Amino acid sequence: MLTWYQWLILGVVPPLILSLYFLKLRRVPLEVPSTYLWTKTVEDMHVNSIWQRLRKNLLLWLQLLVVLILMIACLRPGCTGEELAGDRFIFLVDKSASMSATDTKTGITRLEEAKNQIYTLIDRMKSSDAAMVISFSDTEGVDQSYTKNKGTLKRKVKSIEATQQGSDLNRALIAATGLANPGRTSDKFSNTDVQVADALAATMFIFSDGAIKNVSKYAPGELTTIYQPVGAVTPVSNIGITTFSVNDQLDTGGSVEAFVRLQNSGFEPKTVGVSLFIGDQLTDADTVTIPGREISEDNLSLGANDRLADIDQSPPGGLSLKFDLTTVAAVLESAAPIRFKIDEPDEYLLDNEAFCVLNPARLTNILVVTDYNPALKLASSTDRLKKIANIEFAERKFLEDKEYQTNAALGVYDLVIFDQCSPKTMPACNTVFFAALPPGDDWKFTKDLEITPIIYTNSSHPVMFDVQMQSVSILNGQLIEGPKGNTSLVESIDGPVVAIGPRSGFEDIVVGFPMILYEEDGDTPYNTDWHKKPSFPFFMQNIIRTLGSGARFNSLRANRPGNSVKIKPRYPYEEIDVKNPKGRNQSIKQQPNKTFVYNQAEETGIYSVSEKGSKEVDQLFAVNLLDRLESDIAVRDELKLGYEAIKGNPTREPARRDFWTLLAFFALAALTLEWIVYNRRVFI
Amino acid sequence: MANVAPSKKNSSDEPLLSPALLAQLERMELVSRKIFRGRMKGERRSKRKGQSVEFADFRNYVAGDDLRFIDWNMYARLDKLFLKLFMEEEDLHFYTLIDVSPSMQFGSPTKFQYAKQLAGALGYIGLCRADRVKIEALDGSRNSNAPTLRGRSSLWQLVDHLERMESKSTVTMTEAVKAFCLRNTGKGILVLITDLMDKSGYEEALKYLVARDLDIYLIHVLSQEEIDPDINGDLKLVDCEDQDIAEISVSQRLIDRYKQTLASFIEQARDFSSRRGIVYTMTSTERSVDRLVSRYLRQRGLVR
Repeated sequence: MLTWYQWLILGVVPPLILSLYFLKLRRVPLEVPSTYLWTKTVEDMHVNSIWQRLRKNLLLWLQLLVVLILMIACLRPGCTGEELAGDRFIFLVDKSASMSATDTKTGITRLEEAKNQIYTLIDRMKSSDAAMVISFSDTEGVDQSYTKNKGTLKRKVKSIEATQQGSDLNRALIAATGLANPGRTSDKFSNTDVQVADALAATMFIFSDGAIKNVSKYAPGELTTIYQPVGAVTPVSNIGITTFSVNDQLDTGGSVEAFVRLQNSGFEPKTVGVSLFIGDQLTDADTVTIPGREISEDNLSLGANDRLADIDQSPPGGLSLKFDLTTVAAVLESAAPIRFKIDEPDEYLLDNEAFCVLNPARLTNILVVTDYNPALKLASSTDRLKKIANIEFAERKFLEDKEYQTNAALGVYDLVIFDQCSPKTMPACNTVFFAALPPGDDWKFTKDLEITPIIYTNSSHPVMFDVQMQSVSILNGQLIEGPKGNTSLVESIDGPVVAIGPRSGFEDIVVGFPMILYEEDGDTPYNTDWHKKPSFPFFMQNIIRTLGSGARFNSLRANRPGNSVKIKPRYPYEEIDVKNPKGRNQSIKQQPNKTFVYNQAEETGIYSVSEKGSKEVDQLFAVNLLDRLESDIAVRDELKLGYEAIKGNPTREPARRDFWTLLAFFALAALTLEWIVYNRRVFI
Repeated sequence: MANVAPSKKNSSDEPLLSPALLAQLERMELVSRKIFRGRMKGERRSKRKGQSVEFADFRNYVAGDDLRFIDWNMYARLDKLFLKLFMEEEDLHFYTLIDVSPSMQFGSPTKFQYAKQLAGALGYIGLCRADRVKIEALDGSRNSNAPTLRGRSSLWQLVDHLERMESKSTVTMTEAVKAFCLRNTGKGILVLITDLMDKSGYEEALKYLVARDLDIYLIHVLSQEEIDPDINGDLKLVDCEDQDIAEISVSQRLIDRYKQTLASFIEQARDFSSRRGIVYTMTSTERSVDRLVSRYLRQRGLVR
């Protein structure tokens, strides 16, 4: 802004030009026969001759115009809003399942709405601005790295397609912040450390509905984050299926039940019709009312929009349903797809259907290799286990048998328990070792133990569920060191004595102490009193239930769209075909560990697995969205990134658009015109 | 600023009257709308009865009449004396007044040159018809040195007089006309060649002439620069006669307005003239003299 004396100087300029104009003696004398007619002509003009002269003097007006334009330019006129502030932008687009909700003003999907908003932003970019596009769901991808080409940016944005996956912003943020703050890890003051690059400030626009898993760590650095909520402006009522599963018969001792949980993301209770199909057969139907969001007492008095602003304080309402499928499962000959459906369509259709696979009752194949272990035998012979498992006992020499080797290689067993022995090669199944190590260098005994108390049981692991070992005494044992990624299950005062570790798709448990000691004199005393405690049968049952799932491996596991699915067919095929819900086949070759990995489970529905070229279905598996966050389609007003809460719909920093350059250009043009007029003597 | 200053040409290298023009003029005749009494016998019919061969009338003989004009045949028949009257043929006064104010020095050719050419042409017509031709400068002098010429042989005198004429008079038109009227009492045709650019007005002067009961023709000469001025810029116009100054900033609007003023000025002069029986003719110096005489003045009835 100008100070008063600058204003004064500016204000004096136009009168100065005017006075100079009047003072100038530039009239050319011209002798004429008579001024008689001229005098008569200008007679009436004399009355307002000053103004006449001003009116007709193009040069003067041009001079005044130039000064006026320059004065206006000095005021630095500008306007707000149109252009984007900054010169580097990152457009982070949520393409998760909830973005396909159609609760936008124009009825298009949220993703399309977000795309439209990005197009607008791209249009507002200055020609020198660069931007990049990252889309994310469960996974993230840099669709377009930094470019100034608006056409390319728009093309890339257009090519983003909705997925049926959840949303995880973490990795997308890492990608974005990494590009904005490249040199963060380098040490500025170290002589040996070479600076990677200077941090480049950028503005990141997150286009999302806010249904995102909480981001635990977020260090924006030079990144300015702007959250652009996309979706309904009024609370919507979406009924979604957040849980759909068929219980493991191992849990219930033979009865088969399907569990469904419905979620209502609106504030009002809603009644919907639901149907359960087995195959294409309608098996059950009901009409249920799902309560609305819980409204805390503080928010009772608030209006709908205010409640929406505080949406995280009001968890969505839910309703659980249970269907008994025991009789259906009993007569089932092969695996059957189950489909649960909400009859009323709403704005978000993806969560209105869920799938599951109902497997016919099949016993788990378990091999116990032991010379003598009554405790093991006793614990494996309970009625409950007999209903679900076919447990075979064999002596240690059976390991040399060809039958064992064939069965183990083909994956006939679901679980092999080695009691104080170990095979030459690991079988293609889960294993448990008692006082022995799997072949190879992954597992090690590190230290001998004598009479050691158990101080810790990892009860969070399903194998140790309900297993209390604090009162168990162990005479001799060994400390275990497992492969990378192992989990300690039981720890003595010196370290782990039971641990579980991964082995390319399978899991191995190593117990560091024997149940029974084989003494040289043939005596077989117990090394521990574990078998006398209730925790041992529980442990056995957990092992068989958890590691012995066998062919139900896939059908019982919750497969999410976009995740890779590990398939273990019932028979050791070399190659399998996986047919997706749309009927498209894909052939997969066997992995070295006899399993197959399917990476194309992008859509929800039932996938069928069969031997390549065969029409006989080996197994089915379901892919479901079943995501509470995605089903809760209420748009979040606020995005929590680490410790930072980013408010949605922020007042976009008003980008100041200066016009002084334009005005200066006009002034120059006027000056040029004036020069032409002066030299060419152009007159009106 | 490209000022188109009017060229000042006092005399042209070209002859005042070209042989071709003279040949054309010989066939013409000055026409007077009135019949005046001439001084000398000429070629024009006079009001007076005279001695021409053309019979006019009879009248009774009174004592003292010339016996030669008695119609003896009538006396023989009627026994009464009648006098036979014949038509008289007389000469005509033809005056040409040339405005010699400095303003006449403008135009190309100058208005003054143009006026002299025109006066010469008309004078020659008069000489050919044995009229009394007198060309005078409107300089206000009491003793005019302008010769009164008669006969075709006086052409050289006429041209010589015109060539000696100069435009440097500063008297007003009224004064000059007044002086002319005092000097010349004869009746006849008067052609006034002027640009009418007199700030004191031309009306008074014309009134003097009208009072003389002359057959007046007013030829208003304007240069092209006055009719369509080709000027631009901020100008200080200086009057060549009284050094009066008019400051103008030329614009199309001003030019349009000037043209309007000029048109109304011409219209006023025409109106004033026609009300008083003066034949008004406006001409530009661009228009050639022979064209003016042979077409425009013939239309106006001055020549035939």
